[in-house]
Amino acid sequence: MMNILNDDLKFTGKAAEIMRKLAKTGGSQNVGGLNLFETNFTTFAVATAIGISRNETKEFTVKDSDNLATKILSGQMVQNSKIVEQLYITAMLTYKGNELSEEERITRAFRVPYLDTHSEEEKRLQKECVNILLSYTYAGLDVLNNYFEDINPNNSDAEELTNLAAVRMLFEIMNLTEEQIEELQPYMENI
Amino acid sequence: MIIKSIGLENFRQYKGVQNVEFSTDGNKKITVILGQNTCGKTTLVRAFAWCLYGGEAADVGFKKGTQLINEEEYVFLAQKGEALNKSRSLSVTLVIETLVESDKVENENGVGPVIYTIKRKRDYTSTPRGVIPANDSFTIKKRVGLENEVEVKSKRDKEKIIEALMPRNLSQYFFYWGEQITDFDKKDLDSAVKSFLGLDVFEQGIKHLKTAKEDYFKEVYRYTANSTLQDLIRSREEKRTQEKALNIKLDEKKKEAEYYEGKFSQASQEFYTLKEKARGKEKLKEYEQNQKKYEDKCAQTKASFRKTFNHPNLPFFIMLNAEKRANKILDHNKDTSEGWVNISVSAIDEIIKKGTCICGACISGNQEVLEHLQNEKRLALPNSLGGIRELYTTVYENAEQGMMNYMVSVCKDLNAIAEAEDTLQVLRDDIEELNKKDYGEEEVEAKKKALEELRKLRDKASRETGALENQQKILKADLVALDKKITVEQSKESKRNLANIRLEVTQKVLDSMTQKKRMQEEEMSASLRELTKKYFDQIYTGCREIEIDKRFKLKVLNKVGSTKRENETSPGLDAVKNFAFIAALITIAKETIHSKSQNKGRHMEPYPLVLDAPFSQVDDTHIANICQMLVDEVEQTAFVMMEKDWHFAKQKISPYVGDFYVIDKKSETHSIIKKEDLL
Repeated sequence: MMNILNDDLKFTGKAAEIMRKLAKTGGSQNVGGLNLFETNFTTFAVATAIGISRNETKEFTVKDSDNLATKILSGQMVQNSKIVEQLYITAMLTYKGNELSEEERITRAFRVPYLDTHSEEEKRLQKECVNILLSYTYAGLDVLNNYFEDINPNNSDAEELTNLAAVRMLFEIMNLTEEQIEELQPYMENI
Repeated sequence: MIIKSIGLENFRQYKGVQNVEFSTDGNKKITVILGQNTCGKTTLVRAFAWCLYGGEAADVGFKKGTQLINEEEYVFLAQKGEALNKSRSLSVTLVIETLVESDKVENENGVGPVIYTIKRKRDYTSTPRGVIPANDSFTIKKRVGLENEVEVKSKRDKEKIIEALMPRNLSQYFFYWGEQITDFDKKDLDSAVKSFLGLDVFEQGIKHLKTAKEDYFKEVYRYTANSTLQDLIRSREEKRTQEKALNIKLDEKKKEAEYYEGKFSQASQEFYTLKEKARGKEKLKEYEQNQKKYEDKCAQTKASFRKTFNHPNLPFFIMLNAEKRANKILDHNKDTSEGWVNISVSAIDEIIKKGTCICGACISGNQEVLEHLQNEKRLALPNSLGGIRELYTTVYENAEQGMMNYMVSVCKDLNAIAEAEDTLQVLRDDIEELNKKDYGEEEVEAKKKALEELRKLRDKASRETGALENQQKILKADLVALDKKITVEQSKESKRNLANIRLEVTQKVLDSMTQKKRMQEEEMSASLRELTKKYFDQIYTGCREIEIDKRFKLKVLNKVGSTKRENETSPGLDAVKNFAFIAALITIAKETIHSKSQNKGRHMEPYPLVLDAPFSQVDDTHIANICQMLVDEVEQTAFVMMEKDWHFAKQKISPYVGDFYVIDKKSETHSIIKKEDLL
């Protein structure tokens, strides 16, 4: 069990807006949302994965003063710790900063989360690593937003457009080979 | 008939073949056969009846089971031995000439009498079970004039011939044996005399007519009508009138039914045309139901798509390319070769600190375990990365394997949504189109009501037609039944009329026949009484008189002064009166022949008289008188008598004796008959 990312994860501002637009609320239909993802955590995981896949990060700040905020409860984080762990490891190993050696990447990926943070240095390092992960999340949320920001949840065709956008997104971010795309062609006739 | 001869072969005492030829000479018409006691006189007389009628009945003279074959022959057969399976025969052969005119035939061979040779034969056979008689063989050969003899084949023809020659019920009056002459009174003379004189023919005729009359009465009664023919005809006319009226009514009702049927058919066609049009509404409902169904399906496919899309491995599918980059780094690191999965150094420290393992075992103070745990820290995170590395790699391997399936599922689900929505859209378009139409439902309802009304009218007319047709059937059946009854009654009437006519005719014939019978009976009875009295007076030498009652019973009356009283008779007196009566009968028979020849009606064959010991109870005077009378009145007579009786008779009848025989008794079982000259 990692010693990091076990607490509530709070998003504010634009990030919160995107998450609330894309996900259901507490497993129920979110009126005024696209309800693409089952939970905020799914949105977080998919957004983070997109950021890592595209190796794109985004600077962010979380302000308590922001009127619009949403969060992923710690329970959700712990429940999905295996996914969080994989996201974290992949993010640390593939982080785009070239100043980090392979050893440092491995340490950040596998050792830092399990450290007993007795020292300030260790606490700082853990926080830096979490922020790196979240910078991928924010970048990914922007990518998601690009696909769905034009869809008005109140329109009757919102669901259809959301579904189409979701599939388009998958094709674009999955880095599919030509063979794989060809293999999927028969199933795309009506899309 | 005249008996020409009798032949006996092994018959009772008569061993071998014995023949007696009877005199047929008109002047010497008596044949005398003398014999001692038990020599076979009675047997000889009985042989006549046995030959003609067979059997062993009373009128033939032999009891049932009587051994007819000669005793010596029987003993021979009964000894078996050499005799076993051998047979001996007995037979009696009669040769008879009939004198009835009608039997005389004139043919190319000339004119001659009809001669019958009648033979009855019985065989006895020696068998291991004893001597057994076979059935009699009975032959009749007929010769007409000079023609050759011809055997009569048919049993019925044989019976007819015998009945014509000597009716069985009369034979006892011509073949007397033993004491029969004196027992004459015991016989049923009434029926016998009537039969003998031909009066029974009238009686039979009257009896037959009475039966016929009774039958015609029954017929008249049977064919009496239960109801009069006129009533039936009137009833039939009424029914016919009813039928005509009914037919008119039925025709009208049929037309009405046809009219409503046509109207109903037309309205029905219109109704179904409208209904077909209105069915568009039903189609709309169907489409609306389908719309709901496809909406549900869309919702389901959309929910399915979202569920598929939110695959737990979706983040890993997205990061597959990043994982490849990460693995390059990990491949260079040696620390990733081994280690615990998910067990960190801090966790082990925590266990040591608590002094109790997570399994509950106490490790506090257990140095060995503590040392082991301290040692194990080297394989735990973050000291060793092997475990986490393996887990990391496995997750991505699984993701890589499942990614294409995921994509396919997502695409399929989206396709399904698109298809369902397309279908739904088509349905919606159709529904919109259908909604615009006018289905004329009100018109259909109105038409339906009108149709129902027409249906009721049509059914009513049809029911009424059916009821009238049933009435018509019943009427027709009644008419057929009446026709039959009328035919039957007409037939009955015809038969009744016929039966009445027959009854009337029968009654007339019956009356006539009864009258004629009465007259004839009176005439014959008067003749018979007169002749019997005459012959009695001729034969009897005393003062007694004879009387015959209505039933031909003979009474001898003793006359004392003017008083006549029935007297007790003696055997001798019985014989005398009976001879008188027989002579009277035969005389009337002769008269009958003469009458017949003169076409006066009655006819009868003249009969011979064969008498066994006729004079045994009669004194010599009466014998002479009887003989004289028989000579005068009987065509042919054969006396079988003892020598002592012959002694008294011969003086009187010798001039009339043609043939004379003596039975010679050789032993109790052997007699022979010898012809001798009349001395």
